[in-house]
Amino acid sequence: MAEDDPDRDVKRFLLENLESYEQLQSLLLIAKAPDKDWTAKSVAETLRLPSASAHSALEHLSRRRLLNGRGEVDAMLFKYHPEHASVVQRLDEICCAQLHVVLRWMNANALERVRSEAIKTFADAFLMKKKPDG
Amino acid sequence: MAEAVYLLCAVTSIVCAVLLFRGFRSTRARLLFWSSLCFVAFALSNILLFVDLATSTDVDLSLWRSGVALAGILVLLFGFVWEST
Repeated sequence: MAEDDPDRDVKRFLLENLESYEQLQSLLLIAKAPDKDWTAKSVAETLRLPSASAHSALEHLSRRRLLNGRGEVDAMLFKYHPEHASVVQRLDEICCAQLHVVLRWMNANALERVRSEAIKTFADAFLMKKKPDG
Repeated sequence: MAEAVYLLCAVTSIVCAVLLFRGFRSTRARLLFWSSLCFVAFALSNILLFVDLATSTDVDLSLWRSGVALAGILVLLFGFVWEST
């Protein structure tokens, strides 16, 4: 049963916070060095990602309050925000032991997001008055 | 009373078709386009229903109105299959 699932918190964390493999890699990398300041460039070089992907991933993680970002837009420094440290640590353990399991969860989450977005688009079509942005 | 229900069904279908097409124009989500076409067919079907049952014509439109409704569902089904491939 779902109630007994020991990884329920990890699955929920993935669903609510991580949308791509780049975001997952970046978060786990930064969580391993929580006192270090990271830039998009340093993450890109370490993970061998395109700089734009790393930048986008770090911005997403910062918006989700998993990282603290500071500094100029082009040279932002990111530091680990340890609020979810225990879940992230468990996620790291699962990734090391069974990466395919985490990827399967993320794929399922991606499908769920596409479905939710389609339903929302359909429902929004019946709104007489558009909601204000933001 | 029955005539009012037929007309209300037609009006509801037209409103749905218009809202869905408006949604398609603002989001470009093609699911909304196919749904809009489907509701256009439903509106036509309901108008035919009203003409068939509420006005005194000798022509039997039951095949036409059912055919138009079926066409609407087939259009929507085609849209779903088309968008998923």
